[in-house]
Amino acid sequence: MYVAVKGGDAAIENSQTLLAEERRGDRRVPELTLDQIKNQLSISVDRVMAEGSLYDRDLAALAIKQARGDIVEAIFLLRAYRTTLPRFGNTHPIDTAKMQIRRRISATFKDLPGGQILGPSFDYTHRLLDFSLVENSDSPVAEEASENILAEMPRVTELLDDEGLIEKEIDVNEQEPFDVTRNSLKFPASREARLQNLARGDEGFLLALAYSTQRGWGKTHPFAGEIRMGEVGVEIIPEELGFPIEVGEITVTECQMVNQFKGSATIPAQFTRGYGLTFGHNERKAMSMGILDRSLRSKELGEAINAPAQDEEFVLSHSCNVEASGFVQHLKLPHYVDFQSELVTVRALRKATTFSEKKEDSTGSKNVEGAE
Amino acid sequence: MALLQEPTDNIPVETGFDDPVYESQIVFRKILKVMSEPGTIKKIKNKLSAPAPMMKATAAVCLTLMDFQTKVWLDLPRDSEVSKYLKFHTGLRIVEHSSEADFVVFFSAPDELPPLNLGTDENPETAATVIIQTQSLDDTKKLKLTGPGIKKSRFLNAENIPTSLWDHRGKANSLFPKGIDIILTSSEKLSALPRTTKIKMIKTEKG
Amino acid sequence: MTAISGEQKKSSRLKEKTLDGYNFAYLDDQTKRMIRRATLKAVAIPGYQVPFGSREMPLPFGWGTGGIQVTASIIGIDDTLKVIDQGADDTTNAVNIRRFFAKTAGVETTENTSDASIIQTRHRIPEAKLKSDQIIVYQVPIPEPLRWIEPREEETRKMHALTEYGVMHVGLYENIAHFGKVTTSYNYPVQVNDHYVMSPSPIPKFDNPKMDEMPALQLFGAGREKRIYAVPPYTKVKSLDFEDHPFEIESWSECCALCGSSSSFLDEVITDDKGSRMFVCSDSNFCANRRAKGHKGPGLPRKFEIKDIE
Repeated sequence: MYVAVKGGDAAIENSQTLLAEERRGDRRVPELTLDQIKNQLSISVDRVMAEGSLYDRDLAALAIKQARGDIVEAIFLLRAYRTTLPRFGNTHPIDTAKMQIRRRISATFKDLPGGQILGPSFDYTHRLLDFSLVENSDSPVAEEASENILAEMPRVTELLDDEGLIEKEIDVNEQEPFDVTRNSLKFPASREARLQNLARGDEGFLLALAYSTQRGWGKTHPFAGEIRMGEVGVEIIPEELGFPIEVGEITVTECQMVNQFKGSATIPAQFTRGYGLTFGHNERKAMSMGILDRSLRSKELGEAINAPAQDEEFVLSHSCNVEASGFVQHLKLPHYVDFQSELVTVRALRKATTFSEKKEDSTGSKNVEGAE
Repeated sequence: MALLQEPTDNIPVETGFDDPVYESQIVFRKILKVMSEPGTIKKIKNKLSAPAPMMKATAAVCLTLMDFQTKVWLDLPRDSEVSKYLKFHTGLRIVEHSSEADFVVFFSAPDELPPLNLGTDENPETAATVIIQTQSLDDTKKLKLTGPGIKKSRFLNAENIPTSLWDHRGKANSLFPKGIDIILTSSEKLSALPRTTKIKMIKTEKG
Repeated sequence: MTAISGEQKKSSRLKEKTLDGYNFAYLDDQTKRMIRRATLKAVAIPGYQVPFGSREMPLPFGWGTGGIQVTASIIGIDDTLKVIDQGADDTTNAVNIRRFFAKTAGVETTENTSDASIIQTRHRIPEAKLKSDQIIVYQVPIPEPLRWIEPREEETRKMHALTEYGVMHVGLYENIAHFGKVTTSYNYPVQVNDHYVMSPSPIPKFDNPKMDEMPALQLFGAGREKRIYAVPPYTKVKSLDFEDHPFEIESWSECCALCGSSSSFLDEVITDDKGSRMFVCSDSNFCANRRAKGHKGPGLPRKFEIKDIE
């Protein structure tokens, strides 16, 4: 006899207890501390902060722990928390020229003012599993450099700017910037909306699309003009004071892509910009963002649009992994009402077609209603 | 903190909601009711004291819907007590031109509406909401209303609103989906006439 | 910064009943005001999708965040909430959303349709006729009825602006040409107040006629797609059709095995691996109320047969 599914409450509670148990894992193994996550899984923390749109290492570490290391789930946790926070005001734009540089490289010039600073990077590691890490290792301590790094390191795009070879950076308008976290995106989107959307967009999605442009799906001829990573101060101007005060310091990765542009009827040949910026240390994301910022300018620059990475509505509408993950997984929810409607329709259609087929095929070998 | 910096003469003596979360929800549901069933009349029961000429229902509607994200135009001077009161309790942005406003508030009904944002065919929701204070609001057979939210028809009487204003409204709303949504207030009462409501004047015996 | 001064006063009446550290019904008042303004515009322009600054909710996008945000913005402590998914109050998703509001708003909940002041739903309209003063909040996955014909928002927005719905009719007509009937069985497009073509959300077309001239207010929330739309009470809602192919709804040759109803939407339940199945009301409350009144269904599975729905 049929019994309607009851006791949803108890089932949900049990499921959540099980989940907590699985998260903790074997109780003989010491529990992870947030300090361990913050210090030793720092790249994960950076990604969760960037896509969670909230710069808070402790909360990001907590989210990673709670999500059992599922980064997209951790991003979701952080976003859902972020949305409840009151808003006190806007910060002054950060000035990356004043960054305390930890890494700075340019692929366009062999040497340049300020020099190439390799910093901490996976780039030249041989990807060989380091079995010394199986047991707690004594990691080497890096030596401090004797030379001082320039306090203000000029950006490569500024060097090109001097020669007029690169497009001018458009002046920031005086109006309050569009805020993608408070407004529904409109198309065509402003550049600030696009950059905000990409900055919190899924790293994998951005990476794949950026890659597609390199394979000819909307080529933008990018050069990594400069990538820099380090700490910048964050300032606000309190209404009652009227002058900026520093409220903290954040780590960011900035990428300035320099792209070839043959020019148009009104613009002479020059280089164009693509800009990427992420919280924390994440060059893969910053570079992908820089490439996409530029490829999404195709319409503005009068280039033919024939690839997904140039299609603003396609890219910006599908970049958010919190939205994507939710909607793909909502298919787990019951759909039996819709399915029932479809069943009724499909059966009716089959009945109609099998009747007409029967007339033609008198052998009647066709199975009429598979379900019967 | 910011509150302490505020010069004391900017703090109005009239009070806003005693319990904003709770009270604004109740007021909102009344606005939602009258907007979705045009011509129905609801009463505000909150303890509010608004500076003259602002009536209780007008204050309740403003406090419920306005904040620093809304641009508001008033038919009163910028330094009026009402402006100060609204600025203090909602943080709204007062604008100079009625055409820029999300909300336009008339403390006395005009003959004709000033230039207003009617929205666009693609984004009709950006049109202004017009709040008009009237001398009285009841269901006397002066205006016959039809349209969405109304089963057959409904009657409404908003005292002291010139016929020319209704004509003006009718013209603006013929551009549907562009149009004007009106909230009417009178002491503690409120009603609404969204852009979809058709109004027919009923000729009274007096002529 | 004076804007928050009013809100800094603690909402004492609600404090004890709701979740520590969060506002009544989870959303902050600033967000609620934004959603309330959007909702009023939605009501003023029936069937038009108003963009709004949808927030991340503590439940995943696609799981009812639009409906939840709308409900959170309208609900008060005197409301009684009913939540259904697939017509039933006891599916895990419905239970979960009801738990959310019980926790964050401390409101009373009910399974009884007529006792509810707000009904949040996914995929169904209750069988019991909704009354004036009730509000039904639909959870909407894809609010744009033209999305399957034209994926671009830039284009569909223009089509709505010009009431350029020819493509929609062409699409439906091609369907008829190919299959002899419209094969869309749920999320069947409607036209509201003779103007906007609107997605009724993925309710079965069986429920479409209930939307027409409904005495209750209908609100629709799409969280991920950041849209709110509405149908005021007593508003014309017409399912798209053609003179020679009028709109028709699903019907069953069976009645509900439990309560014997032959006028409700039925779910098919497979009872063994030999093709036996039975049909029961999708609206669990409707079915329970009928049984409480003494109505009985055949109870046992019958041989399956489908009624011709010509």
